[in-house]
Amino acid sequence: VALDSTDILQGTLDLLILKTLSGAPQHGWGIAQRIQSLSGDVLQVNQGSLYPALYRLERQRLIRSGWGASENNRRARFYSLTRSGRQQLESELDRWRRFANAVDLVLA
Amino acid sequence: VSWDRDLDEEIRFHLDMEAEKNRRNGMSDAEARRAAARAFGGIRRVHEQVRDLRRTRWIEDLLRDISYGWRTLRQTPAYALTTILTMALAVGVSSAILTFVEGTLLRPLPYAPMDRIVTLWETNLASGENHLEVSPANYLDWKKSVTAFASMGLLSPHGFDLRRGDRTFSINSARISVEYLPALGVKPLLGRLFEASDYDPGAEPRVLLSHRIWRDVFDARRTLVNETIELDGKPALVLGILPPGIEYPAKFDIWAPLRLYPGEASDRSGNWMTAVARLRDGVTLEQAAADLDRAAQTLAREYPATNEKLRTRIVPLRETILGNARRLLTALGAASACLLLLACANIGALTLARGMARRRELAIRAAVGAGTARLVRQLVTEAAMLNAIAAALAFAIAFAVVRWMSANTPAALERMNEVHTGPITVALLLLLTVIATALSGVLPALRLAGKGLARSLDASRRDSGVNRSEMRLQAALVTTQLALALLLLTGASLLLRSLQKLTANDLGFDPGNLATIQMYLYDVHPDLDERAQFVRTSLEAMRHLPGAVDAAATSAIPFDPAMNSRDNFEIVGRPRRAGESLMMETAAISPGYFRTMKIPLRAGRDFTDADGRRTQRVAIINDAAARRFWHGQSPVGSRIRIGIMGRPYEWMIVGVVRTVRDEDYAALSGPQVYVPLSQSGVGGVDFVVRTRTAPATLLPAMQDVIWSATPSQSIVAARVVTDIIARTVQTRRFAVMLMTGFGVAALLVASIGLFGLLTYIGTRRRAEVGIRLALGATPLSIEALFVRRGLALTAMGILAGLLVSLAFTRVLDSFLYQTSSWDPPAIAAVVAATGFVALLASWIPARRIAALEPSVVLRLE
Repeated sequence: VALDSTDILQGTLDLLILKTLSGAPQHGWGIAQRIQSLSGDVLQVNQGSLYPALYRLERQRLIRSGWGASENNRRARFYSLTRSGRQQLESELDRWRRFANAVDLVLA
Repeated sequence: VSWDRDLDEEIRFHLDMEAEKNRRNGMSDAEARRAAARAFGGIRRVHEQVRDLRRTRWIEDLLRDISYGWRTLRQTPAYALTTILTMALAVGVSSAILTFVEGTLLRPLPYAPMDRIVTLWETNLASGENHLEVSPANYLDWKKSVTAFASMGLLSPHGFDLRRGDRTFSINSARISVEYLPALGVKPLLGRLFEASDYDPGAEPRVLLSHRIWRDVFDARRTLVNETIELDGKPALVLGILPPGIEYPAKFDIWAPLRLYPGEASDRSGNWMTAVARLRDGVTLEQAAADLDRAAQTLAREYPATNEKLRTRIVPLRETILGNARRLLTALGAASACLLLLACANIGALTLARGMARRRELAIRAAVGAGTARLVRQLVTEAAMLNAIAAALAFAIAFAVVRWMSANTPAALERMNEVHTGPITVALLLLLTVIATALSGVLPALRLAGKGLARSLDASRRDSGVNRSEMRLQAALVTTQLALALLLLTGASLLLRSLQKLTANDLGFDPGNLATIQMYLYDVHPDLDERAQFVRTSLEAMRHLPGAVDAAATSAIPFDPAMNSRDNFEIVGRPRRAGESLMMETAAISPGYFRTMKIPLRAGRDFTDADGRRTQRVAIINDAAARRFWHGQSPVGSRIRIGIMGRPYEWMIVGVVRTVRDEDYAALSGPQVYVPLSQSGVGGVDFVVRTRTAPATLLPAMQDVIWSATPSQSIVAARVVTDIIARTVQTRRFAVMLMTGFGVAALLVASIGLFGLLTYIGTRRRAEVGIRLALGATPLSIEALFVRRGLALTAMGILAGLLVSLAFTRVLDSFLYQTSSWDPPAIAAVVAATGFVALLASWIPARRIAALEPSVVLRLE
């Protein structure tokens, strides 16, 4: 079953974006594709909420953006993690793991 | 907007990539695009969401900062109020002073080229005077022999009566030589300037008008040029209109050709004419000065009787016009800059002290995710809020200061009384507010939110205690400020005591409730008998005005230098001793003058209406003259020979009056002789009325008395005598007010510094205070601990201030009157005031610290 990102827990889209960017800089479309492929096509990122989320994260100085050339040599806006973005990712991951564990414990 | 385009491009890229993927999955081109768009959802919605995010983000942040800041500030109203008042004072005063700098020094003068125009003065080696106006004969000789000047111009002040309708106005005017205005680089606004032919003895009167009189009296009518106006009862042709602001050496409204009378052209000792010159190209000021001085030395050899001690001085025109204002404004500018910087330093320290107490709160906010920048912004927002309120208050202060200063600056400070608050004031005020906010808000905020904030949560205990070097610096700053305040206040207090002693002097007449109008009677009343009759009937009419008590006329109204004259005399039947200078000031008065002025008669009789042209010439002298020239014997009945505005005659002394002070408060007048107006040819008189009510209210009725009898009589001035007198101490009063103002401001700022420092120490030593209280110290002993600390600093400041005062108040010596520069009461008052304010500034924070609950403190730490 495929989950639209509107179904994704609030705040989790941010975590996914940060995680996706932890490797290399990526443009918006690439982020959406990667989330989709890494989740085995379970998580479908709603494009309409992807860009506002990217913008919000940039305003929080967790990611930064700049124009670069895409794989097919077109001008594209690339996003990458900032240092505080990386820290934020660490603590969010930690929180997520504890949360998931806790939910698991309850459900087990 | 560029963001919108960026986002568009980003979305387009996204759709293209999606369509590309769809195509690879086997869709047709059109289908691939449609699917991509469908998957994306509403593009407009994305746009709106992003735009909302972008716009509201910082506004929301700002609003949150403001409401948060407002709440915090309301919790510490003392801090908020102190900051607002200090900043309002410092910024208000500084922008007022800068408004004056802009309005006087930076506004261009309407002369060109400014740096080539000079003013010429005579100096007297014997008397030490170095700013004498020039005498016409000397000027004419300079003009012949000095080559350093491309052109030279001469001006003599004059009075014209201008007839408009059935009324006549006395107009401040000038007679000028043909080169005067060209030397200043003045071009006419309309018409032309004077040419050589305008100076022909046969030419009909021709004049130039000031821009002001053209605008105010002639409604700026352009056709006025080449029309005639009525001056002194004769038609005069208007040749041209001058541009606005031509006011050197004074505000003259009518300019006429200067043709020297034969007597004037040979006068070498009367210094009343204004000389200007323009330097020849390539000639320096020093060369011109040497050239001119050579000419003066030649004259000194040729005319030793008059010129032996006369030399010359050249002063650039800019310096002559603006020199005084520049010196005053430089001093005031430095003082206000000092005030502003000290205010910023103190408020900055206070902000830091308060911030220390808030470190925990800030650290918590930082821990829950507020970035450093966010915290700095919060602190800066608070500072900006306070400074914004302060700016509004500062504008009111600047407005009041500018108004007061332009109304009270002595006339010698050219241009300063024309300065008003305007857009420039607002601009300066905003600029200074931004600077003040940066210094007193941003710097402390950076320090507070900067290094070590994250550590201060767990390390707060180690962080307490006092940073020694920083403390010493602040203590030194506070001490310096107190010393400075004491110095200014001491100066102000010495000047104030001088002023009080000066104005407490008995003038010898009663200056209260006297109204006076001044006029020249010769033109309208040339016949002496008719003139005497006119004076008599006018005085009678004035005595019957409602509110009038008495009336009299005099040719020498007290404290008006324009009405002073002195003459040589001899005592009939007594040979003049060698080297004896027999000179008296002269005045022509109507009967009843002494009664009206309340000058007591010491011996003999007053004049009566019976003393006239066909009776014995009679005179009254003051007791200074009686003592000096009659050596204790009664002068009544003896005769003197003196010319009063005319040929010398013999006068019989019939009375002696008390000597008054009629030039300035400091000194009694010298020997004086009064004669009846009806027996002299004097034409310039003041009609003085002693009133029962406010004297100014009688001035219109007094003028109507004159005009109803002779409509063509012009009135030069209508004044209240106390105003004339006040003018002589205007400079002193101005200096006292300025120095008091700055002194009080400095004391205020210094005590805020003290207050801030003690608050800071208090917060840093909170743990220690808590322990002391817990161990049984009384709040009173804690209070005493901090007050002692404050008083120690105060004592140091006062001591330093006294030492500096001792050295510097000597500068004031020449301005002091019967007050030593080490005047105990004045200094005691200042020390007491400074000590009291400093005590208050120490006691308030001390009491707050001592009021802490030990348990709360210890838990906090």
